[in-house]
Amino acid sequence: MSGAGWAAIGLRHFVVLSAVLFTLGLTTVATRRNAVAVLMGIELILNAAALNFVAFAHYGHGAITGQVFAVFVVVLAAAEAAVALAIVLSVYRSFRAIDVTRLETLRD
Amino acid sequence: MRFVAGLSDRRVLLAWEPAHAPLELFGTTPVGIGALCVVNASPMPGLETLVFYGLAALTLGGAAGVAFSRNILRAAFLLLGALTGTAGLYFFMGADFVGVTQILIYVGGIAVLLLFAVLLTSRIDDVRVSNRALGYGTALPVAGLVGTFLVVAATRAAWRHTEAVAAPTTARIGDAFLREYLLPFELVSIVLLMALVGAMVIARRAVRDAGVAAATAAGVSGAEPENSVDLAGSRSATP
Amino acid sequence: MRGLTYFSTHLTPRGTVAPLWLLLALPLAGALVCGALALRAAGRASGAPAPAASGRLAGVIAALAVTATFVAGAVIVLGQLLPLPPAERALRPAVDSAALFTIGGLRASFGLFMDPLAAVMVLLVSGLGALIHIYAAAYMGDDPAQPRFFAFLNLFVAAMLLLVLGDGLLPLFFGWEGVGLCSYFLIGFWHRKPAAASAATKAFIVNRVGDVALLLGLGLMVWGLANVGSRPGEIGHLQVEPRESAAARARESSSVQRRRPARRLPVGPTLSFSEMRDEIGVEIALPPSAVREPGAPADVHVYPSRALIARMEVAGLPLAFVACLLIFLGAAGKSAQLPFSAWLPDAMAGPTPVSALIHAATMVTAGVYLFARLGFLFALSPGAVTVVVMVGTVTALGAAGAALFQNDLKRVLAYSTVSQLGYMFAATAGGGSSGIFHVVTHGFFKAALFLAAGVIIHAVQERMEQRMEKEAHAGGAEPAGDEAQDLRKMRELGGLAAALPWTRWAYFVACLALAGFPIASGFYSKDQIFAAVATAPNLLVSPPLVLGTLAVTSFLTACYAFRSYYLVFSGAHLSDTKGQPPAEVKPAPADGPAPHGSAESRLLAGVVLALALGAIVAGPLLGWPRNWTASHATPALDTFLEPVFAGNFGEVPPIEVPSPVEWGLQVGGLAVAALGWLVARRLYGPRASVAPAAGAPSGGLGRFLAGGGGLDTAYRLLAVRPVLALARAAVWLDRRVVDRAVDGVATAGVTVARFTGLFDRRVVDGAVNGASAGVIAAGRRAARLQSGRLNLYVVLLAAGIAGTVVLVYFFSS
Repeated sequence: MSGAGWAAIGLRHFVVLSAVLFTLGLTTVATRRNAVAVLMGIELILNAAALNFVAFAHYGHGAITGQVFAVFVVVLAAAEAAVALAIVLSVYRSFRAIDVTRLETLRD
Repeated sequence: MRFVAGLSDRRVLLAWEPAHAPLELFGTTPVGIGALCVVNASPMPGLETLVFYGLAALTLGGAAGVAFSRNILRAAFLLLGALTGTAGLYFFMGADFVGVTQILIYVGGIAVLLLFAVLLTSRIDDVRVSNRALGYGTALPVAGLVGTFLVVAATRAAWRHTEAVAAPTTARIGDAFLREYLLPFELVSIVLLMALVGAMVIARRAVRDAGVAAATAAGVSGAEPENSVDLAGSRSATP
Repeated sequence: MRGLTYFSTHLTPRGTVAPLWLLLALPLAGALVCGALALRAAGRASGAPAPAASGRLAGVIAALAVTATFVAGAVIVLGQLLPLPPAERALRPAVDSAALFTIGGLRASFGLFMDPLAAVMVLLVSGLGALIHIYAAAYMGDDPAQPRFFAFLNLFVAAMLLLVLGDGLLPLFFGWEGVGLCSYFLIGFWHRKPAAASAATKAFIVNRVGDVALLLGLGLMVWGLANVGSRPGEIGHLQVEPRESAAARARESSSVQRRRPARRLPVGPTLSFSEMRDEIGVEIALPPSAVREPGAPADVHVYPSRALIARMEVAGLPLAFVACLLIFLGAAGKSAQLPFSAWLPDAMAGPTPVSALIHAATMVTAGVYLFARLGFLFALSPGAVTVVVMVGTVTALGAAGAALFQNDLKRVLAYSTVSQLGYMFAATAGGGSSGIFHVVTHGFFKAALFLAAGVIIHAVQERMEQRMEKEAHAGGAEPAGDEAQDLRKMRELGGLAAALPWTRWAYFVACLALAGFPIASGFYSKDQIFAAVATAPNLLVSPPLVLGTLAVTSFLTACYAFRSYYLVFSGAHLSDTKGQPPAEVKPAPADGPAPHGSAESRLLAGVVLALALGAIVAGPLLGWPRNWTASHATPALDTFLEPVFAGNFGEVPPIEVPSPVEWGLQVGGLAVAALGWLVARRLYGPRASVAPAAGAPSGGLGRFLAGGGGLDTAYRLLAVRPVLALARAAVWLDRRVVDRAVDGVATAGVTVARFTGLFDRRVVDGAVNGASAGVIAAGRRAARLQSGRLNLYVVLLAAGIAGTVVLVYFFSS
């Protein structure tokens, strides 16, 4: 019972949604100075990917693979977050800051 | 309307048929029935559409807040919201196991961890987006371009899709883990282990350097100009 | 033309071999030796005067050389030429370089050739030359530059002999230019005197102008020869039979009829005079009926070359006329006829021996000699003959008038030479040998006059210096200045008659000869000239007109000759220095170095006397008039020179002057001469009144004539001013245009260089530097990519991926 003019929710909608989510995550990573904020952006990106996986799992053939990979993504995101925070701590030890714009030693 | 059997033993989400989703979700409460009548009686977008768009708004709104909010604490909480919205979307698609996993790990673990990290930073109102060479001017166009492309690709592509039947997925995922995806499963386990060890190693070094174990809330030394993080504890001498 | 026989009555004989080169080699050797002496003297340290010995040595050597030349010439002429029969009198050297080279159809030869005409000239030149060399050796005294003088004098003799002996344009022209060159050097011998230097230049340039005309004229003749006949320009040969001319046949006894074999005669353009003459003289034997000459008698033979050339035209005028006129202009330049006569009076700035030899006896007669040589050409053109006769006559008259008003002794003699040369030209153009006869006699008496003038000059100088010394010793105040000098010179003129008796006598005799008295030779030669003019076959003006003019000229000649004699040798006119001093005949100032003692002057006087004797003797010996003999025998020189002039007018025999006319001419000549003498004696003689208008020319005519007839002014206006203007224009052009152009080019070059430098610095270097700076800046900007900033890396990563995907999408769709 969907209203006239409103399309039925389909794969398209989810892909667009995950695209926008990805873009926002990219913006966060690109613009934020705080390292933790950058990590948040990374989480957004990963979420977008996982959402995409599940959408394809639901609306495509080979149903369960997408969900499996979504689980993987979640798990790996967790691992990554832990490690990243440890790195941030270490960075703070060296640079006394977590402003990513200060971490320029790679330049040389 | 079709009534479907209620909660099963396995404590999974109720599987519903799309046409009857609202009923299962809301139960047979009068609110739900009322809503259902309202929904079914008028030429409005269906409940399904509404739910989707609501969850999408939550997700995207949270993500936007994470991207553009000046207050990092607010950004962290909005991340929480975004992740919850995603979980909701998972449920919307019938991926019950993934949704629960999302809530448990992402929302309950990672987001909380990030929240802890944010809360533990000293100047929480000090988030300035003043990248010297890389401001909104440079990032937005690029991101916009990427986003535009993705959206365009998504809207233009002729997706072949079919509706999958909603069914509990846990068993199937478990099966997949132990059959086709056994190797990735094991590898992920190893990765987890390594991450654990690695984080401990990195943190430990800091602790060893610091000379003091245990982590408590570290005060902020007023001399630090930026968001100083002192996860490992009190003031430590720089090596 | 087939079937025709060519014959000629006047073929140039082939001649026998004689050592003609010797005549050139001897004076040349003398010139070389004297030249070596001169170089040695010049090589000495400047300031050290050359010893007089080298000068005297040079004089001796030079005189010996020319004397030897005369002896050799006499031997050759008497021993080799005279014994030959008259028709065969020709000598050629052993090494004959006839046909030196051939250009196209032109045969160029450089050969020597002695026929009677050349023999006469050789003897005259070398004989007079020897005497004058001896005189000069004594006259030049201690002049330090004597070796140079004698070198040039000998070289002159050599060149003159080459001119005379040459058979053809090439040797003639070498000699022609050679004598002109030596004349230049000798006139300007005292080159530090501005008058001498400018006179030498004037003479040379006027000669050169004449030479151009000479070359044009002879070239025109050669061109005419090249274009006559059926096949122009080709060298061919004609089989010509020599035949006796009618006159010769009549003269010879009929028993001896030698038939000479036919000769191959080359025809075509040639530079050799004898070949030219032979070609023009060829006749064709045609049957009378075949002759198509209008108005010609039936038995007249046709001369193809002569008739054809006589009819050839160039630029609308007859070829022969134009060529002869041009040749006359050339001869006029050399012989100082109008309009080229202005250089001779100025040439008296040279030493007196030079004036005697070159400008009286020999070089100026080269033109007459050329006319005699080319008589066959003048016979073709009555117009040219007439022009020459008229010009010669007018020149004679004008120069005689100018001589009458001269105050400088040598200038009187110079104008006299010009006048006598006019006589010679008039005579030679008319045909016959009278002109050459006058050359011989004139050579004697004019040389005698000049050398006597030299003696006089020396004597005056000497006495003046003695007087000055005396006055200096006496301590008298001497008025300085030229006027005082002249006064002193004039004072010395008195008593010269006593001091120089021999010279005075010789001068008198020479004056008699010049005036034309029967005692001396001038009478005989002038008589022949009158006869020749009267009987000239080609003359287009009436002979009485010419004769009348010549008679007036003779009157004037006698006048000025005796005027000069009386002014020099009779001391009656000398008044005191106060009052009106008679500006009398003054010798040329500072002429020659200081004279020597009486021993020298005896030698000088001896030479003068010898010449005077020759002046007496030569006339009767060589030209005894016909009507004074019973048999009307041809005079000796005429007979001798007859082969040279025979056949010039074809078979037309020379017109003989009837006896009464000849008597009339002789008496008339004597009369005018006597009249002139009387007038001069009256005006300037010993019993004349004191101080007549003998000095400064009173009337305008006198002044005009004394100034040379305005010729110098004409030269200045017509030639000198335009040339100077041209030179100034050239200098202006060079300075303004050429130098400006050069400077402009230099400036342009500098400007271009500066611009190039600027361009190089700004643009090129700027480009290079800019490129490097650009690269550095780009590098710096690019280095910012490696910023180490996380955000940037992420963005770039995303951008890269997006870009790649977009590209793939667009390019694969």
